[in-house]
This record gives sequence, structure tokens and C-alpha cells, in this order.
Amino acid sequence: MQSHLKEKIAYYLKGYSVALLLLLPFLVSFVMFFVVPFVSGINMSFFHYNIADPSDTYFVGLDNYSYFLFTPEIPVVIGGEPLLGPDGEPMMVANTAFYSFWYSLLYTFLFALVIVPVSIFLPLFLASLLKKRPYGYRLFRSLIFIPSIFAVSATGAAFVYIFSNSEDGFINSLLGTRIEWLNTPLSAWFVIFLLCLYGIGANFIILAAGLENVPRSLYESSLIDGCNSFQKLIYVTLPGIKYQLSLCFFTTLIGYMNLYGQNRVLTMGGPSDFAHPERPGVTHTVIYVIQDYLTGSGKFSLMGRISAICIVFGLIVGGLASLRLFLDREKKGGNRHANEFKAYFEAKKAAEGR
Amino acid sequence: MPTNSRLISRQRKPRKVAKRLAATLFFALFCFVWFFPILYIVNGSLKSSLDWATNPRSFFPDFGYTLDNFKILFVGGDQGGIYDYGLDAQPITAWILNSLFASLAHTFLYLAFAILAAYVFVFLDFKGKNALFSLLLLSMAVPSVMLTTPQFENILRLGLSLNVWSLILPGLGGISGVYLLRQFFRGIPKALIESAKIDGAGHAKILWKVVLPLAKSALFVQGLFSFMSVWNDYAWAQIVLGYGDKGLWTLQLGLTYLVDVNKGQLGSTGVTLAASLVSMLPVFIVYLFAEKNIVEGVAFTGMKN
Repeated sequence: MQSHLKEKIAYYLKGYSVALLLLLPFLVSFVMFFVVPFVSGINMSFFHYNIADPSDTYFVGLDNYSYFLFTPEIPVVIGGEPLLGPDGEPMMVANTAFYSFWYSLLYTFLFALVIVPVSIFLPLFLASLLKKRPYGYRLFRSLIFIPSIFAVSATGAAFVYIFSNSEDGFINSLLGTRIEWLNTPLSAWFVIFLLCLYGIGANFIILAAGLENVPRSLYESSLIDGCNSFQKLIYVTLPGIKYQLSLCFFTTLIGYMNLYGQNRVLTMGGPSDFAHPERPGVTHTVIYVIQDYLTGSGKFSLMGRISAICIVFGLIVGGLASLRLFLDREKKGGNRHANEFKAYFEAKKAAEGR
Repeated sequence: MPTNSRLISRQRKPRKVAKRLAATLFFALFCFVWFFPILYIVNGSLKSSLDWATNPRSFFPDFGYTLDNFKILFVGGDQGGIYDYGLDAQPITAWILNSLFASLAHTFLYLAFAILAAYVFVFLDFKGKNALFSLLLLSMAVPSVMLTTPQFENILRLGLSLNVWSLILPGLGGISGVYLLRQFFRGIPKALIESAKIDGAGHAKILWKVVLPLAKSALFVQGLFSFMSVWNDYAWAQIVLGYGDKGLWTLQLGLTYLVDVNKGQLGSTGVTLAASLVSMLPVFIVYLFAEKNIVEGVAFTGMKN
């Protein structure tokens, strides 16, 4: 009986030890670069956290959060003492952290409202045209996909010169205009929008593959039922690519919550809002504000406050992401993906004649 | 009704061809506009400083195409020359080497770690396997922005400040690649594994001879994703390396710096565009070699679940 138990333990240990050994490199990285920062980020956000000077680190409760969330004005402090006005009250000044956060949040969402639908519908339109099998469609597919693999700073360089503010810029000299493309709020966002379109490649490939996989028989039967092309779109095509649409929508939305590189290269967050000097530059996104903090002079001493901003914005983005679980929950089914790949795999094998 | 159906098909054919032609025409026009910025980079990088300074408005060069910009980029310009704007030698070779090392090391390490992990989660059995995987998957729900600040602090605490490993290591804890590979591995027929086991193959042999060859598309696409995530990264590199010496930078940091300092100077446009072309080349070459696998792999990421 006892030897039986021993055997069993040895058997399990053996199973575990191989698994553990193979998993170890990943698990160690996961703990070191996910779990540790995740926990320490939450912890840090409750402290005035100075990494350069540990003695300057102390618990502040929720102060870091309320500072940028609810404090539009802060007292002017000179030499550690609040500056008093003529009426004996402390002089107040606009808190740029407060305005930076709320306005960059506004800009980020307004832009997402425009770019996300376009980043779905433009590739969807292109993918449906690709289904008409234009001559050289493989080349066209590549040409549309390729720009999305390049760094934003590389393709952005072209846009900087094409939409240059100078009259010698490509578009300005073509149109004979003198538009300060990157110095005017709306046109600056327009150029950012154009550069963002360069990222639709993955959506395009995913949607095109989805369209190919809508069963032909459904189209044939819809023809027999006398559907017109609009009804075909509504009742056959869109339901057929429901999963791909949801995937593209959420990855794109979350991608644009992280918008930064395009704005950095093209406008450097500007132009400034001269009428409201307390507000950030009009192309500041939330990530831009965070990057400003993390590359600015206060980065080592303000880690707690920056962490708090990251956590609040992270919760907003995480909330949007979890909407997907909620929307997709009806079709939770065991091994659908595995089966689908099995079918794909076998079809491929058959096609290659292996 | 055979005649009837033949009639229909005969009627349809020219219409289909017309549709294909119309689509072709549309794509040709669209792709011309779409690809114009890339064309602008290639063309502009071959226009000399003199051309850019004297003739900025015309797309084509007056004095012919030249590789001068690349020469200036790598070995520096003729110091003090009239048209050598912003041409003090930049450490671009160091930028390229830093970027290459970081991207390749990250790709190699991540693929190795993720392959092993995915293999365990698909082909090994132990108690709590699925619970562990679900637990790891939960990390995908945490947006990356939440980790930026503490990850920076983490890097500083590990003594990796201003070190190229600060680009390589943090991404190794990501579960998404393990998830992608696991999806592919699950599609591999179990019978293949069983028969290899019966033939006496160990884990190493099964992984190397059976699993990996079948998951080539997945490895290519995950490899490209990993490579691109480091090669194309700007924001994280700006945080961990941006405050250091120029020689420590990556190519994207250097390129953005070049764009910034050369913005108002027409003569140096070509040099900046040349740097941008240099940063595009490696990903483009990888793409050319693995196009089929990459397109298939990206399409498959849309098939899963």
C-alpha cells in the first residue's frame, strides 16, 4: 500500500518536474516582468516615491490620485512656503497635471471616435473588393499590408516632409497653398489620422481572410431566397465575419488608446493651446502626457504620481477591453479554434499534396 | 435545362471579367496613392543635399540620383560644406547595432521560452495545468500602460539603467505569444505525437521533429511580431535609453532625433529620409522572405477563438 503511494508520488513528481523545467524560463520572466511591476505599481501609487532618494519616500494615501483627478488649482510655493496674496490668502495657480490628464483623455477619446470606425470600414471595403479577384491581387494585398510593418518614426518622416509647414513642402507646393499643416489643430490631427491609416494592414488581412471563409453555400442560398446585395451584406457577410469584426474593433480601439508615436513624430504634441495655457498641446494623448512625465526631469522623484496616472488610465482601457468578454460571451465553446485550425491544417496539407 | 445554365454562365463571364478589371483599376489607383509616402522616402533619399536645397519642390532630382545621403549618414559629410546641413556624424552604426542586437536577442529568447511553455500547455499533462494557464491569461487583461512606470522602476532596481537589456527583458513576460503558439500546437493531430512516442521519441525529439516543422507559420509570425515589437518601438526606448548618451540609442530614437533637428532644413531632407529607409529595410527583408507565412499567420490570428 505504501509503496503504491510512493510510486504514485514519484509518478506525479516526474510529470511535474519535466513540465516545471520547461515552463521555468517563461514563468520566471512572467514573475519578474509582469507580477513584480504590477504589484509594485499599485503600491507605488500610494507613496511619494523617489527612487533617487529613498529617504524622500513616504506614504501619501490617495493624494497622488486626487492631485491630477480633482485638483484644478494648487498654491504657489516658493522655498517651501506658500506664497500669500495681498488678501492674506495663498496665491493659487492652475494645476497643469489636472488639465493635462483630463484634456489628453478628451483628445484621445475624440480621436478614437473617428479613427476606430475608419480603421474597420476602410479595410473591410478593401477586403471585399479584393474578393472580386483583381488581376495581381496578391501584389495589391502585399502593398496594402506592408506599410503597417514599418516603424511610425520611419513612415512618419515622409509625412513630416510631405505635409511640411513650409511652402516648399510637397502638398503645399502641389496645391500652391501655404497651410501650416502640423501647426493648426485640425490639420495636425488630420495628418496624424492619415499616418494612423498606415496601420490598417493587419485588420485588412484578418478581414480578407474572414470574408474568404464565409461559406459559399450561404451566398448561393441567399441568391435563391432572392436577397439583394444589401441584404446579402446584412444577413450573410457581416454575421459570417462577426468574430473578425469584434477582434479588429477591440484591438484597434485599445491600440488607439495607446496612441503616441504618430503624434510624437509629426507634431511633438503641439500646437499649444494659446487661449488656454494651462491645457496641454492639442495633440497630447494620455500616453503622451505619461511619456512627458517619464522622460522629464521629475521622473525619478515623481514615480508615485506617474504610477497613479498609469493605473487610472489602465483601468479605463481595461474596462473597454473587458467589454469584449461581455459581448463575446454567448459563443464560448470548448475547442472551436482548435477544430478550425485542424480543418485549415488538413486542407493545407491536402493542397500541398503531402 | 442544360442550355439554360450554359447561357447563364456565358452571360456571366464577361461581366465577371469587367468586375475584375474595375477592381484592378481601383486597386492600382488606390495603391499608387497609398504607397506614395514610401515612394517619397525611396526617391527622396536618392536626391542629393544640393538638389533638396535648390529644388525642393520638384519630386524628381535635377542633378540625378545619388547615394551621397547614405554616405553622409554613415561616414559624415564634408564638414562646413554649404549644403551639409545637420550632417555632423551621428552614431548611426551604433544605433543600428543596438537595435539589431536588442530585436534579435528578444526574438530568440521569447520564441525559445514561448515554444517550451506552449509545448507544456498542449502536450504535457499535469494537475492544475488549465488553471495555471487561465491564471497567466488573466495578465492579458492588464493594459500595458499600467506597467510602464513600475517597469521602469523595476529596470532601474535591477541595475539595468541605460542598458540595452532593458529593451530585451521586459517583453519576455508576455503571454500573448505563448497563447498564439498554443493555438497552433493544439491544431496538430494528437495521433502524430502518439506515434512519435511509440517510436521512442523523447520530448526534445517530438518538439524538434514533429511540432516545430508543423508550426512554421506560427513561428514566423510570432518571430516577426517579437522582432517588430523591439525594432519599431519608440516609447519604451525613449523612457529607458532616451536620457542617456546618443551612442546608447536605438535606430528609432536616432531617426526621430534626426527628423526633429532637420525639420526646418531643406538640404538635410535626403539624409533624414535615407535614415528612415535604413530603418525600414530589415523588416522589409524579413517580410519578403516569409511573406506567405506571415500573411497566413496574421490571417490565422483572426481565425482563432
